[in-house]
Amino acid sequence: MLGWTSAVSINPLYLSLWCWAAGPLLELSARLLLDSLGANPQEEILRGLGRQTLVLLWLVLLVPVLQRTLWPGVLMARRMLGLWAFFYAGIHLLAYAQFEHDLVWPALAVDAFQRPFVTVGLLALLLMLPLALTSNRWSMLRLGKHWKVLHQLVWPVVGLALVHYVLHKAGKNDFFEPALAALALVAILLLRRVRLGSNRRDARGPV
Amino acid sequence: MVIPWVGYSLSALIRRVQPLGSAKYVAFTTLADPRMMPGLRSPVLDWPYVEGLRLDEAQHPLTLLSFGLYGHQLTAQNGAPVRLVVPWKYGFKSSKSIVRIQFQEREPLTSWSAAAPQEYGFYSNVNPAVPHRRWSQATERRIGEDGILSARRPTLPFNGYAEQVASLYAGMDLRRFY
Repeated sequence: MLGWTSAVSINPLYLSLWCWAAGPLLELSARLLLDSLGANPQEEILRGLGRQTLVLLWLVLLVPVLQRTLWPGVLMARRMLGLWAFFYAGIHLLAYAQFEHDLVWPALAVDAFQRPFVTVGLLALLLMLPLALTSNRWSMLRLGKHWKVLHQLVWPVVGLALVHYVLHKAGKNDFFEPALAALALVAILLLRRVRLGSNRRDARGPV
Repeated sequence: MVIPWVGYSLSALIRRVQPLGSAKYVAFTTLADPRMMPGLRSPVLDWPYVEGLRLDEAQHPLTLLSFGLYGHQLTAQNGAPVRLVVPWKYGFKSSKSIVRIQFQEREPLTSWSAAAPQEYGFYSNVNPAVPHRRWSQATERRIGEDGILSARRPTLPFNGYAEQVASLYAGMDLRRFY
Protein backbone atom coordinates (compact mmCIF):
# COMPACT_ATOMS: atom_id res chain seq x y z
CA MET A 1 0.00 0.00 0.00
CA LEU A 2 1.15 3.54 0.67
CA GLY A 3 4.86 3.69 0.04
CA TRP A 4 5.38 -0.04 0.28
CA THR A 5 6.25 -0.54 -3.36
CA SER A 6 9.15 1.86 -3.24
CA ALA A 7 10.61 0.83 0.10
CA VAL A 8 13.99 -0.66 -0.61
CA SER A 9 13.86 -2.75 2.48
CA ILE A 10 11.32 -2.76 5.21
CA ASN A 11 13.28 -1.85 8.27
CA PRO A 12 11.71 -1.72 11.72
CA LEU A 13 11.93 2.07 12.00
CA TYR A 14 10.17 2.54 8.69
CA LEU A 15 7.53 0.05 9.72
CA SER A 16 6.96 1.72 13.08
CA LEU A 17 6.58 5.14 11.42
CA TRP A 18 4.11 3.61 8.96
CA CYS A 19 2.07 2.20 11.83
CA TRP A 20 2.23 5.49 13.72
CA ALA A 21 0.93 7.33 10.63
CA ALA A 22 -1.92 4.82 10.30
CA GLY A 23 -2.77 5.18 14.01
CA PRO A 24 -5.45 7.89 13.92
CA LEU A 25 -7.23 6.13 11.05
CA LEU A 26 -7.37 2.93 13.07
CA GLU A 27 -8.38 4.81 16.21
CA LEU A 28 -11.23 6.65 14.49
CA SER A 29 -12.40 3.44 12.82
CA ALA A 30 -12.37 1.54 16.10
CA ARG A 31 -14.22 4.32 17.94
CA LEU A 32 -16.75 4.46 15.12
CA LEU A 33 -17.40 0.72 15.45
CA LEU A 34 -17.58 0.96 19.24
CA ASP A 35 -19.88 3.99 19.00
CA SER A 36 -17.51 5.98 21.22
CA LEU A 37 -16.93 9.08 19.10
CA GLY A 38 -18.96 11.26 21.46
CA ALA A 39 -22.09 13.31 20.86
CA ASN A 40 -21.02 14.55 17.42
CA PRO A 41 -19.15 11.71 15.69
CA GLN A 42 -19.02 13.48 12.32
CA GLU A 43 -17.22 16.46 13.81
CA GLU A 44 -14.82 14.20 15.71
CA ILE A 45 -13.94 12.33 12.51
CA LEU A 46 -13.50 15.49 10.43
CA ARG A 47 -11.28 17.16 12.98
CA GLY A 48 -9.27 14.00 13.65
CA LEU A 49 -8.49 13.56 9.96
CA GLY A 50 -7.58 17.23 9.51
CA ARG A 51 -5.34 17.23 12.56
CA GLN A 52 -3.41 14.17 11.42
CA THR A 53 -2.90 15.75 7.98
CA LEU A 54 -1.24 18.74 9.63
CA VAL A 55 0.87 16.58 11.94
CA LEU A 56 2.14 14.53 8.99
CA LEU A 57 2.89 17.63 6.88
CA TRP A 58 4.82 19.18 9.74
CA LEU A 59 6.73 15.95 10.24
CA VAL A 60 7.61 15.79 6.55
CA LEU A 61 9.27 19.19 6.97
CA LEU A 62 11.12 17.98 10.04
CA VAL A 63 12.50 14.84 8.37
CA PRO A 64 15.69 16.44 6.95
CA VAL A 65 16.54 17.77 10.41
CA LEU A 66 15.97 14.35 11.98
CA GLN A 67 18.05 12.77 9.22
CA ARG A 68 21.06 14.86 10.23
CA THR A 69 20.62 14.64 13.97
CA LEU A 70 18.73 11.98 15.85
CA TRP A 71 17.71 9.62 13.14
CA PRO A 72 19.98 9.04 10.13
CA GLY A 73 18.06 6.93 7.66
CA VAL A 74 14.65 8.44 8.38
CA LEU A 75 14.79 10.17 5.01
CA MET A 76 13.60 7.00 3.31
CA ALA A 77 10.30 7.37 5.20
CA ARG A 78 9.60 10.89 4.00
CA ARG A 79 7.75 9.87 0.82
CA MET A 80 5.62 7.45 2.83
CA LEU A 81 4.75 10.18 5.36
CA GLY A 82 3.91 12.61 2.55
CA LEU A 83 1.62 10.07 0.93
CA TRP A 84 -0.09 9.44 4.23
CA ALA A 85 -0.63 13.22 4.57
CA PHE A 86 -2.24 13.25 1.11
CA PHE A 87 -4.36 10.25 2.03
CA TYR A 88 -5.62 11.87 5.26
CA ALA A 89 -6.32 15.15 3.43
CA GLY A 90 -8.26 13.20 0.81
CA ILE A 91 -10.52 11.39 3.25
CA HIS A 92 -10.83 14.65 5.23
CA LEU A 93 -12.41 16.14 2.08
CA LEU A 94 -14.48 13.02 1.47
CA ALA A 95 -15.79 13.11 5.05
CA TYR A 96 -16.61 16.82 4.69
CA ALA A 97 -18.45 16.18 1.41
CA GLN A 98 -20.41 13.33 2.98
CA PHE A 99 -21.25 14.87 6.36
CA GLU A 100 -21.92 18.44 5.20
CA HIS A 101 -23.26 17.88 1.69
CA ASP A 102 -24.42 14.24 1.42
CA LEU A 103 -21.83 13.88 -1.37
CA VAL A 104 -23.66 16.40 -3.55
CA TRP A 105 -20.54 17.73 -5.23
CA PRO A 106 -22.12 20.85 -6.81
CA ALA A 107 -22.98 21.96 -3.27
CA LEU A 108 -19.30 21.64 -2.39
CA ALA A 109 -18.39 23.70 -5.44
CA VAL A 110 -20.70 26.48 -4.20
CA ASP A 111 -18.94 26.20 -0.82
CA ALA A 112 -15.58 26.57 -2.50
CA PHE A 113 -16.58 29.99 -3.83
CA GLN A 114 -18.50 31.24 -0.80
CA ARG A 115 -16.48 30.13 2.16
CA PRO A 116 -12.78 31.03 2.39
CA PHE A 117 -11.86 28.14 4.72
CA VAL A 118 -13.20 25.66 2.17
CA THR A 119 -11.48 27.45 -0.73
CA VAL A 120 -8.15 27.41 1.06
CA GLY A 121 -8.48 23.79 2.16
CA LEU A 122 -9.40 22.61 -1.33
CA LEU A 123 -6.51 24.56 -2.81
CA ALA A 124 -4.08 22.91 -0.39
CA LEU A 125 -5.34 19.46 -1.35
CA LEU A 126 -5.20 20.35 -5.05
CA LEU A 127 -1.54 21.36 -4.72
CA MET A 128 -0.79 18.09 -2.94
CA LEU A 129 -2.11 16.13 -5.90
CA PRO A 130 0.86 16.63 -8.27
CA LEU A 131 3.21 15.83 -5.39
CA ALA A 132 1.44 12.55 -4.67
CA LEU A 133 1.27 11.66 -8.36
CA THR A 134 4.99 12.23 -8.89
CA SER A 135 6.17 10.51 -5.73
CA ASN A 136 7.51 7.48 -7.54
CA ARG A 137 10.89 6.58 -8.97
CA TRP A 138 9.71 6.78 -12.56
CA SER A 139 8.50 10.39 -12.14
CA MET A 140 11.70 11.35 -10.35
CA LEU A 141 13.81 10.07 -13.23
CA ARG A 142 11.48 11.49 -15.82
CA LEU A 143 11.30 14.95 -14.25
CA GLY A 144 14.97 15.10 -13.34
CA LYS A 145 15.88 18.43 -11.77
CA HIS A 146 12.34 19.69 -12.25
CA TRP A 147 11.16 17.16 -9.67
CA LYS A 148 12.79 19.13 -6.85
CA VAL A 149 11.32 22.38 -8.12
CA LEU A 150 7.86 20.81 -8.32
CA HIS A 151 8.13 19.45 -4.81
CA GLN A 152 8.79 22.94 -3.44
CA LEU A 153 4.98 23.06 -3.66
CA VAL A 154 5.02 21.58 -0.19
CA TRP A 155 5.59 25.11 1.12
CA PRO A 156 2.37 26.66 -0.25
CA VAL A 157 0.58 23.47 0.84
CA VAL A 158 1.78 23.93 4.41
CA GLY A 159 0.94 27.65 4.36
CA LEU A 160 -2.56 27.04 3.02
CA ALA A 161 -3.16 24.22 5.50
CA LEU A 162 -2.30 26.55 8.38
CA VAL A 163 -4.53 29.33 7.00
CA HIS A 164 -7.33 26.75 6.58
CA TYR A 165 -6.96 25.82 10.27
CA VAL A 166 -6.97 29.46 11.40
CA LEU A 167 -10.03 30.34 9.28
CA HIS A 168 -11.87 27.29 10.57
CA LYS A 169 -11.41 28.53 14.14
CA ALA A 170 -11.84 32.24 13.36
CA GLY A 171 -15.59 32.45 13.93
CA LYS A 172 -15.23 31.51 17.57
CA ASN A 173 -12.00 33.42 18.20
CA ASP A 174 -10.52 30.17 19.43
CA PHE A 175 -6.98 30.36 18.14
CA PHE A 176 -5.20 28.19 20.70
CA GLU A 177 -4.73 25.13 18.47
CA PRO A 178 -3.82 27.01 15.26
CA ALA A 179 -1.37 29.10 17.33
CA LEU A 180 0.21 25.89 18.59
CA ALA A 181 0.50 24.62 15.00
CA ALA A 182 2.04 27.93 13.87
CA LEU A 183 4.51 27.82 16.76
CA ALA A 184 5.53 24.27 15.87
CA LEU A 185 5.99 25.33 12.25
CA VAL A 186 8.23 28.25 13.26
CA ALA A 187 10.27 25.89 15.45
CA ILE A 188 10.68 23.46 12.55
CA LEU A 189 11.71 26.27 10.19
CA LEU A 190 14.29 27.48 12.72
CA LEU A 191 15.64 23.95 13.18
CA ARG A 192 15.89 23.56 9.43
CA ARG A 193 17.79 26.82 9.23
CA VAL A 194 20.19 25.90 12.00
CA ARG A 195 20.72 22.28 10.98
CA LEU A 196 20.58 22.58 7.23
CA GLY A 197 21.65 26.13 6.54
CA SER A 198 25.19 25.86 7.98
CA ASN A 199 26.52 24.07 4.94
CA ARG A 200 24.97 25.28 1.71
CA ARG A 201 26.59 22.65 -0.46
CA ASP A 202 25.49 19.94 1.87
CA ALA A 203 22.02 21.45 2.05
CA ARG A 204 21.52 20.73 -1.64
CA GLY A 205 21.38 17.13 -0.69
CA PRO A 206 18.25 15.51 0.54
CA VAL A 207 16.19 18.44 1.80
CA MET B 1 -31.27 16.80 19.35
CA VAL B 2 -34.86 17.15 20.39
CA ILE B 3 -34.86 17.68 24.14
CA PRO B 4 -37.76 17.49 26.61
CA TRP B 5 -37.09 20.54 28.78
CA VAL B 6 -38.55 21.05 32.25
CA GLY B 7 -39.70 24.57 33.03
CA TYR B 8 -42.36 27.20 32.51
CA SER B 9 -42.96 30.13 30.20
CA LEU B 10 -40.76 33.12 30.95
CA SER B 11 -43.87 35.22 30.35
CA ALA B 12 -45.19 34.08 33.75
CA LEU B 13 -42.19 35.68 35.45
CA ILE B 14 -42.47 38.81 33.31
CA ARG B 15 -46.12 39.23 34.32
CA ARG B 16 -45.08 38.87 37.95
CA VAL B 17 -42.38 41.58 37.85
CA GLN B 18 -44.36 44.01 35.66
CA PRO B 19 -41.61 45.80 33.70
CA LEU B 20 -42.05 49.50 32.86
CA GLY B 21 -43.92 50.40 29.71
CA SER B 22 -40.68 51.74 28.24
CA ALA B 23 -39.03 48.29 28.33
CA LYS B 24 -38.46 46.94 24.80
CA TYR B 25 -35.71 44.38 25.29
CA VAL B 26 -34.60 41.84 27.88
CA ALA B 27 -30.91 41.17 28.59
CA PHE B 28 -29.78 37.93 30.26
CA THR B 29 -26.44 37.76 32.02
CA THR B 30 -24.72 34.45 32.74
CA LEU B 31 -22.68 33.73 35.84
CA ALA B 32 -18.94 34.39 35.44
CA ASP B 33 -17.26 32.67 38.37
CA PRO B 34 -13.70 31.59 37.53
CA ARG B 35 -13.64 29.14 40.46
CA MET B 36 -16.41 27.08 38.89
CA MET B 37 -15.86 27.99 35.25
CA PRO B 38 -12.24 27.48 34.19
CA GLY B 39 -13.22 28.24 30.57
CA LEU B 40 -13.48 31.93 31.52
CA ARG B 41 -9.69 32.08 31.30
CA SER B 42 -10.03 31.77 27.54
CA PRO B 43 -10.33 35.15 25.81
CA VAL B 44 -12.86 33.84 23.27
CA LEU B 45 -15.54 36.25 24.56
CA ASP B 46 -15.77 39.33 26.72
CA TRP B 47 -17.17 37.73 29.88
CA PRO B 48 -19.73 37.62 31.45
CA TYR B 49 -21.86 36.15 28.69
CA VAL B 50 -24.77 38.39 27.71
CA GLU B 51 -27.74 37.45 25.56
CA GLY B 52 -30.87 39.33 24.65
CA LEU B 53 -34.39 39.06 23.31
CA ARG B 54 -36.96 41.58 22.22
CA LEU B 55 -39.65 41.87 24.92
CA ASP B 56 -42.33 40.30 22.70
CA GLU B 57 -40.03 37.35 21.98
CA ALA B 58 -39.36 36.94 25.69
CA GLN B 59 -43.10 37.05 26.38
CA HIS B 60 -43.94 34.39 23.80
CA PRO B 61 -45.30 31.28 25.55
CA LEU B 62 -42.70 29.08 23.77
CA THR B 63 -39.84 30.93 25.48
CA LEU B 64 -39.07 28.82 28.51
CA LEU B 65 -37.32 29.39 31.76
CA SER B 66 -35.91 25.91 32.29
CA PHE B 67 -34.68 24.04 35.34
CA GLY B 68 -34.22 20.55 33.97
CA LEU B 69 -34.33 18.12 31.08
CA TYR B 70 -35.39 14.51 30.67
CA GLY B 71 -37.10 14.80 34.06
CA HIS B 72 -33.86 15.63 35.89
CA GLN B 73 -32.46 18.88 37.24
CA LEU B 74 -30.10 20.77 34.98
CA THR B 75 -26.46 19.78 35.30
CA ALA B 76 -23.78 22.49 35.31
CA GLN B 77 -22.97 22.01 31.63
CA ASN B 78 -26.65 22.30 30.70
CA GLY B 79 -26.88 25.67 32.47
CA ALA B 80 -27.83 24.98 36.09
CA PRO B 81 -29.65 26.23 38.04
CA VAL B 82 -31.78 28.15 35.55
CA ARG B 83 -31.53 28.76 31.83
CA LEU B 84 -33.51 30.02 28.90
CA VAL B 85 -34.84 27.87 26.04
CA VAL B 86 -35.86 29.67 22.85
CA PRO B 87 -36.91 26.83 20.54
CA TRP B 88 -37.01 28.80 17.26
CA LYS B 89 -33.56 30.34 17.63
CA TYR B 90 -30.06 28.92 17.34
CA GLY B 91 -28.71 27.43 20.54
CA PHE B 92 -26.56 30.31 21.65
CA LYS B 93 -29.63 32.51 22.24
CA SER B 94 -30.72 30.22 25.07
CA SER B 95 -28.68 31.66 27.94
CA LYS B 96 -27.41 29.30 30.62
CA SER B 97 -26.82 29.79 34.36
CA ILE B 98 -28.64 33.12 34.41
CA VAL B 99 -27.82 35.46 37.31
CA ARG B 100 -29.45 38.64 36.02
CA ILE B 101 -32.46 39.51 33.88
CA GLN B 102 -32.69 43.14 32.92
CA PHE B 103 -35.45 44.98 31.07
CA GLN B 104 -34.23 47.84 28.95
CA GLU B 105 -35.15 50.28 26.21
CA ARG B 106 -32.16 49.64 23.94
CA GLU B 107 -31.15 46.47 22.14
CA PRO B 108 -28.53 44.68 24.26
CA LEU B 109 -25.10 44.12 22.72
CA THR B 110 -24.99 40.33 22.90
CA SER B 111 -21.69 38.50 23.43
CA TRP B 112 -21.47 36.78 20.06
CA SER B 113 -22.56 39.88 18.12
CA ALA B 114 -19.82 41.80 19.91
CA ALA B 115 -17.19 39.14 19.19
CA ALA B 116 -18.05 38.43 15.54
CA PRO B 117 -20.73 40.83 14.23
CA GLN B 118 -20.30 39.54 10.67
CA GLU B 119 -21.25 36.03 11.82
CA TYR B 120 -23.81 36.45 14.60
CA GLY B 121 -26.77 38.80 14.45
CA PHE B 122 -29.08 39.78 17.30
CA TYR B 123 -32.07 37.72 16.21
CA SER B 124 -30.50 34.39 15.21
CA ASN B 125 -33.78 32.86 14.15
CA VAL B 126 -33.35 29.44 12.58
CA ASN B 127 -33.49 30.32 8.90
CA PRO B 128 -32.50 27.93 6.11
CA ALA B 129 -32.47 30.81 3.61
CA VAL B 130 -29.68 32.76 5.34
CA PRO B 131 -26.30 31.02 5.28
CA HIS B 132 -23.86 31.46 8.11
CA ARG B 133 -20.53 32.91 7.01
CA ARG B 134 -18.86 29.54 7.29
CA TRP B 135 -21.62 27.08 6.48
CA SER B 136 -25.00 26.71 4.85
CA GLN B 137 -27.97 26.58 7.22
CA ALA B 138 -30.26 24.91 4.69
CA THR B 139 -29.89 21.41 6.12
CA GLU B 140 -29.06 19.82 9.46
CA ARG B 141 -27.98 16.62 11.12
CA ARG B 142 -29.97 15.54 14.16
CA ILE B 143 -27.46 14.47 16.77
CA GLY B 144 -28.37 11.31 18.64
CA GLU B 145 -31.04 10.17 16.16
CA ASP B 146 -29.40 10.07 12.75
CA GLY B 147 -26.72 7.52 11.89
CA ILE B 148 -23.24 8.37 10.75
CA LEU B 149 -24.17 8.32 7.05
CA SER B 150 -27.83 9.45 7.30
CA ALA B 151 -28.94 12.03 4.77
CA ARG B 152 -29.15 15.53 6.17
CA ARG B 153 -32.60 16.90 6.94
CA PRO B 154 -33.91 20.13 5.45
CA THR B 155 -33.92 22.81 8.14
CA LEU B 156 -37.34 24.35 8.73
CA PRO B 157 -37.90 28.10 9.07
CA PHE B 158 -38.04 29.05 12.77
CA ASN B 159 -37.02 25.46 13.52
CA GLY B 160 -40.56 24.29 12.67
CA TYR B 161 -42.35 26.86 14.87
CA ALA B 162 -43.17 29.29 12.02
CA GLU B 163 -46.89 28.99 12.65
CA GLN B 164 -46.43 30.09 16.26
CA VAL B 165 -43.73 32.77 15.96
CA ALA B 166 -43.44 34.08 12.38
CA SER B 167 -45.95 36.86 13.17
CA LEU B 168 -43.43 38.37 15.63
CA TYR B 169 -41.28 39.33 12.65
CA ALA B 170 -43.96 40.45 10.18
CA GLY B 171 -42.56 43.12 7.89
CA MET B 172 -38.93 42.58 8.92
CA ASP B 173 -36.24 41.74 6.39
CA LEU B 174 -34.94 38.54 7.97
CA ARG B 175 -31.89 38.51 5.70
CA ARG B 176 -30.82 41.79 7.23
CA PHE B 177 -31.97 41.02 10.76
CA TYR B 178 -30.58 37.50 10.96
